[in-house]
Amino acid sequence: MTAAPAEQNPAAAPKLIALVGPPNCGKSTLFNRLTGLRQKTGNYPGVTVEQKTGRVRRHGGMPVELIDLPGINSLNARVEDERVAMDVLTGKMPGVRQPDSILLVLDATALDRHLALAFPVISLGLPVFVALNLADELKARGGQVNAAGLSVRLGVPVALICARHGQGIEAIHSFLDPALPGKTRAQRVAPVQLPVLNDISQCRRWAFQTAEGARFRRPLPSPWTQRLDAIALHPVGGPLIFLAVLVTVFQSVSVAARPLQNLIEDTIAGSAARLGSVLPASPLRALLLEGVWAGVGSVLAFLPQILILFLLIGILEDSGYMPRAAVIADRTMARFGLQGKSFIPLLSGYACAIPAIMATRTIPSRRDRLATILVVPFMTCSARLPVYLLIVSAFVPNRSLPGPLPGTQALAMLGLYALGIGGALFTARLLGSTVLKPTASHFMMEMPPYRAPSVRFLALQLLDRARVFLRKAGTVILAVSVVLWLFARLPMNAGQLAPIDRSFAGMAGAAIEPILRPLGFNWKIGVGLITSLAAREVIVSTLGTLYGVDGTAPAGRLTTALHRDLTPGGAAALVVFFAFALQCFSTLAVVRRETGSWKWPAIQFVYMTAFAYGAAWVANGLVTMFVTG
Amino acid sequence: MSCNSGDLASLRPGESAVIIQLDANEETSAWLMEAGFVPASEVMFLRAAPGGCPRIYRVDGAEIAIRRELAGNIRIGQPS
Repeated sequence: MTAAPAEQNPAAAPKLIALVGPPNCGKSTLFNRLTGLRQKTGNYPGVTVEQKTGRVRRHGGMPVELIDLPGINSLNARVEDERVAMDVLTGKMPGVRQPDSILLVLDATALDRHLALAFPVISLGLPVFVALNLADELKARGGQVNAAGLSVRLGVPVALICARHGQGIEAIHSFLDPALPGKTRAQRVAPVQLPVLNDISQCRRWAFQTAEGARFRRPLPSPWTQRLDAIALHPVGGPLIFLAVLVTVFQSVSVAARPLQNLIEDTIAGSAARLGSVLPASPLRALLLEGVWAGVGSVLAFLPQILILFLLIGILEDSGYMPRAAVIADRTMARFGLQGKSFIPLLSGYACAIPAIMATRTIPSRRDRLATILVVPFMTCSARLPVYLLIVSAFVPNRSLPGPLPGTQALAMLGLYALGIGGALFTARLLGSTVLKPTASHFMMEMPPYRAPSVRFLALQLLDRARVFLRKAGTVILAVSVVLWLFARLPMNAGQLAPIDRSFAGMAGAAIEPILRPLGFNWKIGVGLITSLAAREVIVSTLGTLYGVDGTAPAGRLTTALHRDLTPGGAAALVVFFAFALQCFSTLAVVRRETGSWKWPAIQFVYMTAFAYGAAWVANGLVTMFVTG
Repeated sequence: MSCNSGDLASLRPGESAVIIQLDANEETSAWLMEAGFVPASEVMFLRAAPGGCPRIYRVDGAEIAIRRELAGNIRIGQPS
């Protein structure tokens, strides 16, 4: 619980406003518009639904805290998102006090459908303000609505807004704090007795009648969306665009980020050299340079890759291409016992398995959802990237290939990504024919109109991700680096630090070496595998530390040291092992929370480790045979 | 559209029809109805994904993709 407003002193507690709305209504854009950088991301206790809270950015007036609830279509509590929203709104969510009022965001271009959510929300009895978002799009496509008329019918204030460009936001501010002096005071509206509605049909009929009463005219279908869909879903062009998008994502991550990465690496190396020349020689200097600088620095260098990946996924989601990609992927996914909605978690899995596993919540079928959760960790997450890049740049000569082919290193990276997909699809098939037999699975996906991605929204999202990553580098990875350095230089002997092979780390690596020998790994890799259980990318900083402190290693880059110390077979085995192994405690914890028991994460861990060991053994054998002729 | 009745999967791109009945279990029906596939609503088949499935329908101004197999469980008639 990081973001519970309830932890604050109740006397000084700011007003808590819940942000409620259906998916795709621009709720997150409004949240970012209102809170800017003053937001925190956490989780509700016991469930994996993300909890976003933020302080409203304003001058003067009472402090106001905003809590962003998951996107929902109804309050029927059929899916977890709806249950969470209902619990928060009724004050039953532990650790979160009941909101003082509700800011309901609806898509003005789909008002008649979305009003079906207004009914249960208003019926809760809390003060409600209805923001009709995308007012500009409604007008541009020839639709209209009388906000004042709707306000009279609902008995709550209503305003047309455009969260993306900021129009109408002042009406929301004056609702959040009525004491605030301003031109647009929140309208005072006479409460209305809502009818009793018992089922979906009645609720729908009421929504349509209310919209009609407010002179709502549905906008024409977006002509751009029609034109773009004719291309994006074209029988031949569609799949080609889909593949081009995937290749672009991989290429950007492995190639476009390289100059930035070199810049960061050089800066770290330069500062380490300067620091080394200033400090007097002592064990503390060694700890600072070899432990902290080398360890954290080698992980920081991967920040550009991770941010580029999150940026591309953000653009795909924000522009509306992602649902089209899911529709294109559905047929292929179905063949492996998955479905189109599994595609989005699987693609997010390229960044990190944890948000990807959370994203499976949008899959209504429990069987499909479980199958997706079990295969997501095979996708090449950004934590594997540092390991791949290290090994590929150390062992694959960078040559360009004829024609449109990418270079050899990019091709090797692509191959490793393909390996992850292969593992995921093989496992999905295996699950489908054994423990998780496919049911008549249903797939349903709403296709929102295409929209130009919001730079502001993407930038805020990226800043958030960078902050999370840097916090991890500054805490977990720093701690692991320091502990490891101690591990690698202790026990002290007669006031001298131990040489690496006689250190605790050396002993532990030697102890597990017999198990790793068939894979072509040495004891240093063994130490790296142990520490990578904290987080995969930690192996890079571990190797950085291990080779940094090893007097026999050349002073140059880690790649040179590795190239000298590891056989090609061992290198191939290492990346293959990383492609398949589930070395991430956080993922296991999320799977447990999501599936409700340790059964599935335990099966997943054992299965993936065995799979990884077997595949790495085969890789070592094949490459060694090939290299030695 | 020549038929007085049939199922949603039999529509051709650009054709519209009115939903008569949902031949599905209660859970699936509720799920379809929440998305707008409600008896007496008008539906238009916009286009299919490459390979013919899933199919994208316009209903209540929203564009919803469902698999052909599920569309086959939605009985339709001629638009009024």
